[in-house]
Amino acid sequence: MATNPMQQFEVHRIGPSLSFNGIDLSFTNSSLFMLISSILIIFFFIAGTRKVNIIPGKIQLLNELVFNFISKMINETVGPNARPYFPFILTIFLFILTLNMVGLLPYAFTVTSQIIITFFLAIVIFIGVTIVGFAKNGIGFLKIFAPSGVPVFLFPIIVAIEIISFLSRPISLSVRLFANMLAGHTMLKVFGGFVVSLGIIGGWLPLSFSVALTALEILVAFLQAYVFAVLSCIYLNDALNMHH
Amino acid sequence: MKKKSIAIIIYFLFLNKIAFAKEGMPQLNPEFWLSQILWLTIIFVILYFLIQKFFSPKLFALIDSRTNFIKSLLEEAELCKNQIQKLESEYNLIITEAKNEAKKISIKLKNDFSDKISLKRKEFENILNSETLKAEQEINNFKKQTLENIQNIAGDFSKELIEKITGVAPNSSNLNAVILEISNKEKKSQYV
Repeated sequence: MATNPMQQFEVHRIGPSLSFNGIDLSFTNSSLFMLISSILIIFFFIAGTRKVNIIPGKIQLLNELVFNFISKMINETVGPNARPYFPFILTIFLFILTLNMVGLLPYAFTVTSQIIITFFLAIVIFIGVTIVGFAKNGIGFLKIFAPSGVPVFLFPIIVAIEIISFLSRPISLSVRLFANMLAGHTMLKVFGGFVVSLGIIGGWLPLSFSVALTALEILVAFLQAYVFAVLSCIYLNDALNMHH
Repeated sequence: MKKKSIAIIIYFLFLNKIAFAKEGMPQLNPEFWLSQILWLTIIFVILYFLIQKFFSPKLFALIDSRTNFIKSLLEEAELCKNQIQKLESEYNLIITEAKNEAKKISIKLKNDFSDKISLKRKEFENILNSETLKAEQEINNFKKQTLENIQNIAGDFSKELIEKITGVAPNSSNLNAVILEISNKEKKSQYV
């Protein structure tokens, strides 16, 4: 077992080296766990939708539960006009949730603890939402930076704050997920290291902490996936239903 | 100047992160960033495509069909409920009408019966009155006859008694007049 708790986040190449114009595009352990998570999601859906009945079976019920959960969340935060974006939000939620959960397994790699992954997902959502906002509202989308009812002398400051707040969305969205995963897994690794170093006599206390932390991490894994999806919906809501 | 600024940007974008990565944060090592982005894009797009094209429509259709099925059952139940309410109101109407009819019949029978009773009573009273009248008449006749018989017996007895005492037969008409007077007096004293 590695002693450095940060070693678990190291990305390394799996298989042959693949490069294009000098850029390394090799398949890595991160890519492998993304693939595993995606396969799990696909199997989950295949098992749930293989034989669909009006009275559902166990897996179909679980499928519908996830489906209804996301559907309800989108309806509550964005409204019924967000149905075309449902598959994307569902994919985001399930992808992050599975990556988080798979990352909790021993010797597994936590893909969402990579800032580049969370940042790329967040920037895709940010750019997508901005495109949707301009497509739906035209140049009027810029009104998002100018809230109504603001005194004239405060207007430039508020607009500046709104622009900074808007631009910092991908950073906050990505850092939240990344930092939570990083902190949780580092803690688990540290306590795991204590269990090993304190041995069979003194290791029981950190072991019990590890068990409690694992339970907490399962909760965090779900919660962070949910928060990511909810915030994506809120940003989408700003683009679809402008309040300013 | 331009080269210097590019170098500074490159340092802040990549090189300082490599330094951080070496110190302990492997996430900031940009060595596999593009590779991760590429594989993330490929895997995410495939997953999104599968969910959007196959799983999502299937589950949407299923949930919609279930919602429609439940809706149709609820509509059917509502229809049955309305029919039951209609039947119940019809039943209540029939029961009320029947009760009213029964009440009417009962009142009519009561009236008929009471009419018949009063008729019979009248008939009975008439018969009773006529019978009473007849009996009274008979009693009066009998009384009158009895009185006449008593007067005759009293006259004959008085005549024989006076004749035996005095030896002279009294005048019958005078004697009868005396007896009639005495009997009238007796009659008056009885009624007084």
